[in-house]
Amino acid sequence: MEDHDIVELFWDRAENAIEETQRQYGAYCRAIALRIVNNDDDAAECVNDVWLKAWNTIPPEKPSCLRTYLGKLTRRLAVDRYRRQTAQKRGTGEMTAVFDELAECLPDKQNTTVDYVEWKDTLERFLDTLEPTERMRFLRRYWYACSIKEIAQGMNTTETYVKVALHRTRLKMKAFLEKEGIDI
Amino acid sequence: MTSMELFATLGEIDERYLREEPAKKSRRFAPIKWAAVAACVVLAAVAGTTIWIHRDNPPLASVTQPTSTVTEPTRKHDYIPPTIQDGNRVLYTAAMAGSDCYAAPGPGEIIWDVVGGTVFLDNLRDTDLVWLGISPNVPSQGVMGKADREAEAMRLAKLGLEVYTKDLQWTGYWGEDVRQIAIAVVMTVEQARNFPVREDYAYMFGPVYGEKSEYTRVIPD
Repeated sequence: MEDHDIVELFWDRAENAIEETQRQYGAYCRAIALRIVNNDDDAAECVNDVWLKAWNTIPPEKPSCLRTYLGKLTRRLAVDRYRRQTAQKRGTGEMTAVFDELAECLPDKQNTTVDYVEWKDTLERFLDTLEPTERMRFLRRYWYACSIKEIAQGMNTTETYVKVALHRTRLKMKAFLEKEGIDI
Repeated sequence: MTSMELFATLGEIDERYLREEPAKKSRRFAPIKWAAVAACVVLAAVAGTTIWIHRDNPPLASVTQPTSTVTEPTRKHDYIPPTIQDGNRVLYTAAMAGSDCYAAPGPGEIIWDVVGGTVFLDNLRDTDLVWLGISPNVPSQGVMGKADREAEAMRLAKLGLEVYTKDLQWTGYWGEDVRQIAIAVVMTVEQARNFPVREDYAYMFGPVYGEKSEYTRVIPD
């Protein structure tokens, strides 16, 4: 079943819209959630929340690409859950490494005011400066939270190469953010 | 900003970045690459020879290449409609941001004085196949089955609308056989303005999915 057929089911408020979405994108959403929350039960709950969120937002939304739409919902919900989990303790699993790496990208001077919209725009401008392969590698690590091994296998290269390449991209990002001079 | 906030903000980037597929490296590229290099060498040799032969002739007049500008279609509106709740009756959202959809909330009501609705009408051509979403006006009444949808398509056809349907069939999550139909209509602006709603149904109009050739015309009994 194509994306537009599933979206049409949502719009028609058909009960099987969720079942069909789950069949098609259940594994994909679960993989995103699991990498972030690092726990089977939490990932399953997170994905259930995604179906509910999708049911409540389509309509009025009419996503042209259901996969990325659901992926964003999943990531958002998983990050919220992760924040609640780790309010008292340090992160677990792959996320610890991801956060440590991202901390390297943050410019040294920090401001207390954060404009998330400006940040999002700046990050998109930064992504536009990257070559497609570099961008993909960066997003696999910092959007999908994939492990270095997964990225290396998926992109048919070695783990060492991925580590070095990501390190270079992080340096680029830091320089870009500093050049842009946004308040963070 | 902390690295967690940075991670969260990264999650909000535009979806287009997530649709990219990895570039596939192919061994077949090598011969193509060398063929291209060889072609360049031949072209350079031909060009060099030509310049050498015509070295005493006056320069050719420059030729202005015709240029064309492709204008990207822009969103006609960015209207974000309110979700309307009326007791236990959900009035479907009146216009869908960015999708030129329009919803007749029912029962018996038609709202055109919204940005999306107006744009929809302004751009409606008599030849357009318009997707028609139908559902019970009260969600708790359940989902319309295929038979109900067929009956509604036939009712509209009998009222003079040009109605089309497309069969949808798939295996449900529990392995059940699910059959449904998509409904589409071709109508004039006048017919759209006076759309013959049934009071217990809610209707939504929007761009149709797929080609007209995939749909079958409903012929009134």
